[in-house]
Amino acid sequence: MPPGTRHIFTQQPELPPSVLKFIVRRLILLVPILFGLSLFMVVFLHLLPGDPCGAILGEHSTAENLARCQHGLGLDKPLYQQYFEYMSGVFHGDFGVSATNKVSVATSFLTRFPATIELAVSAMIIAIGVGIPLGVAAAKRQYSLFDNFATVASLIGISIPIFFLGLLLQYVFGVWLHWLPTAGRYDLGAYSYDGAGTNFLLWESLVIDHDPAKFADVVRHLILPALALGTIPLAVVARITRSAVIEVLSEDYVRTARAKGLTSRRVDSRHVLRNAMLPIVTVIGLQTGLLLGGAVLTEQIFSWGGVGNWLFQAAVDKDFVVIQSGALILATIFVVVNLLVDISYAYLNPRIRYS
Amino acid sequence: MRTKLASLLAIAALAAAACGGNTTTPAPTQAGGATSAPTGAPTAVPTSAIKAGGTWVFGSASDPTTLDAILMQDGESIRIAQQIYETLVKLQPGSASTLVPGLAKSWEATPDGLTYTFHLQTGVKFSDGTAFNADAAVANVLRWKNLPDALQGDDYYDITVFGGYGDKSLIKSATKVDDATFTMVLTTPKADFLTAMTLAPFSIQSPTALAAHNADKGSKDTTNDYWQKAPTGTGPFMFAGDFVPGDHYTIVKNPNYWDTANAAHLDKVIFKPIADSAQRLTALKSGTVDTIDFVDANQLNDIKSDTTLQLITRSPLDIGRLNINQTVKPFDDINVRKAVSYAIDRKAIIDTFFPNGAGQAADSDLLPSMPAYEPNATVTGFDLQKAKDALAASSCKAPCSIDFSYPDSVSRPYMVDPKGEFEAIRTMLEAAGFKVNPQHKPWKGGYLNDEANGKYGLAFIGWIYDYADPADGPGIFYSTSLAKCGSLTPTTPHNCEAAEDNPAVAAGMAKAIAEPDTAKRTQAWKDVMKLINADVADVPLVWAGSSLGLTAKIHGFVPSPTQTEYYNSVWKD
Repeated sequence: MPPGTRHIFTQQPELPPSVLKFIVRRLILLVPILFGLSLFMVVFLHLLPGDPCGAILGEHSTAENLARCQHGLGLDKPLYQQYFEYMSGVFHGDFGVSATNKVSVATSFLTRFPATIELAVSAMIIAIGVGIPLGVAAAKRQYSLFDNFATVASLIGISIPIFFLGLLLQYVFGVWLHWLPTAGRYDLGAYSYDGAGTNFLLWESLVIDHDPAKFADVVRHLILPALALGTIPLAVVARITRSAVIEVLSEDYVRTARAKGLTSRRVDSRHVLRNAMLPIVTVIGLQTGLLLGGAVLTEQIFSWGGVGNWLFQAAVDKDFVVIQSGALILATIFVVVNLLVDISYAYLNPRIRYS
Repeated sequence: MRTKLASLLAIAALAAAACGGNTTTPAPTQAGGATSAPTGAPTAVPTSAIKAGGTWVFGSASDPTTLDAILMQDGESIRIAQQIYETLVKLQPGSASTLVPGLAKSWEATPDGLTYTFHLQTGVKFSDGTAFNADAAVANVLRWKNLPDALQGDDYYDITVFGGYGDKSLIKSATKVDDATFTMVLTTPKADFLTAMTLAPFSIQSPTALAAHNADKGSKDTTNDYWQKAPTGTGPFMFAGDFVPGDHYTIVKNPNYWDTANAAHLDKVIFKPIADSAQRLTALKSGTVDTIDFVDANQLNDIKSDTTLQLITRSPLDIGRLNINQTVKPFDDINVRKAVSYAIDRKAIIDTFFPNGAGQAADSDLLPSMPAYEPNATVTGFDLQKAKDALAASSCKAPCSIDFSYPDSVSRPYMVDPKGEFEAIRTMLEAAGFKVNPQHKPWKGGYLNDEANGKYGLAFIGWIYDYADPADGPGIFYSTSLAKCGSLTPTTPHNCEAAEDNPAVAAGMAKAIAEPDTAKRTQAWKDVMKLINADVADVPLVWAGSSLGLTAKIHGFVPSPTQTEYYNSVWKD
């Protein structure tokens, strides 16, 4: 190991003492963020025309029925009172009940979040698994035919609308070739998940049911939505990786490492990529946070029973409580994911100081 | 041929009912009109050809929103409830009006139409193993009457049919006579009572399961998990304990179903929610689901041309219409209303927006299959010259400025493309001398609220009948008279959708709704419809049927105009 680079990259990093303070401060900051968000959501939603009663009653919306429904949901109370009652519940861990199906928001969220996690993680595995090698390879062959191809492909990947890609994938692989299913998470006619009830189907099929065929079925259902969802992050990761790697490749310590006779693979993995990881991890963190917040379009197109689909329907139905609470929960998740990314910087580059 | 046969049956049943004296004849009873035959409906299949077992994956539009029957009001909840629950009186499969025994094997009413005695099926058990008997039936009826405070407001059908709770309910009492008999006494006669009792919200549920799962607690009480964990009825299917919101809802064959001759063929039915109609079609074509409902008009040919698929279109039992609020000027002038109605070429609307037989031009809020149907003798159809003449005779001279409203973000069977239809009608109205001011809002984003509160003069709206009776339609559109709406120039939002300004309509409807004799009731409704037509109280546009797409391996599905469809007859290759 060349001693000149060892002190930076192979030394086991220690968590700086300021990190704990940093975490606490960020978590405290979450309180005003969520408070502001809740206030904004309540005001914003009530400024929009319509309410859940129109969605519930449909053609049955007569003036009397609407008034009865609005009274039942407490929508006839002053806005400040509705907000106070809602926030009072939130502080007691009660995120409210859906106006549409009367199921608690917490229950609905916990039921659907595993579906979103499976989809988001699968999409990110595709994005990272393909995006980073693609970016590295393009950077190492800068301005080559491959680099140009990768650049154009990334541009298309970023530009292509998810709904278009999703529909295209459905048509080609579902309707035309009949290779892959176009909706849902598993073959409802062939399998059932009666056991653990975690709704993590990859886990349940493989670890609990020990059924490879069942696992393969879940994977088959994941392929198209994960591809559709993973395309944009893949393109973003590939582009960021390319530019970060190009920058690092021109650094003196890389040239030194090569001059000392290290193999190209070792230089890439231990010196180039690791130093280029900071912006890549930032992008991966942001994209993961976004995807965990629910991939509305993808979940809609593939009838995926996740958080995005749930919140979309709530928005269509003007289900105020679900939208408000869903936004609070997702904002919390987004902030926490970003916090984890920030903390990871300490491991990737101990020179970073938290203040 | 089928229509003629149905009409003859209807006439025979009506005659029998008219001559029936003091007793409402036990099933089958024709409570209303005949039903025109659906297209693609199954033909009789030899019993030996029917295959038992299998799983049917049904692409529905959404999850159920509740399965506590009395609280249901959406179609997807009712779709499931019709398989796991049963009502005392049922509609004959495929019919919108013919009553057949359900959990009551027969019934009779007193001549005053106030007391109904139900004779119940015996040996019936709920899927939780408890007995269905008069005690269970009475407990359910009394729950409708005395719905707990925490649930009140969620029970659209309860409040619509029975009008209130406790002393304000139309139900005066429900009393057990013996284990297999009970009586219901109404406070006032209600001619469509038995037909209303076929509605899925009036299904009989297990009192034991309701109590065990705290169904009477409010929605915020988390101990109330009845509909999600244990909806319990007597139907040919039962809840499988497998409900993943947003993903699927599963019911399985009830192995102990009491009516063995009508037991389910399938082992399992899984409802997969797919909100978007295009995605539903993709799921059908890719084989992800076996059946989809609410096929768009522009998808009909796609399914028809695919040999692996089949299309079933329900007979229409809805009405797409332009509502007119007579308190909004210039629609207080009947000549303006006439001019609007004459100016609209319904056939052009049908040809453009309801191709492939998806709709028919309407001239009444009632359908020709309903006995009280009365063709419009006042405005006989599209006539541009008459439209211009009527406008010239009105108080609003050309260019007569009118507000015309349509909803965004919605497609209904009777209103597939509101903006497109609006633009087409706008052109027609402007040709007749109107100046149209467009108004639009999202369907669920204020449009329904504004329309219901009478804020629109001329507005797109529609209605899907729950059963083939004018009380469930015109009886609701015109239920709030001008007298209750205040002056012609209201300064505050008023509870008027149509504000029909004719006391004779209100009086006629009250008489029709209370008339127990079928023939007299039909005549009373005909009289009401004549008045409504003469007043040009609205502009009927289209009667549209909804369609299902099925893979060729699904058999035995019997479509119903009211979507009262029982899946026990369905089987799969």
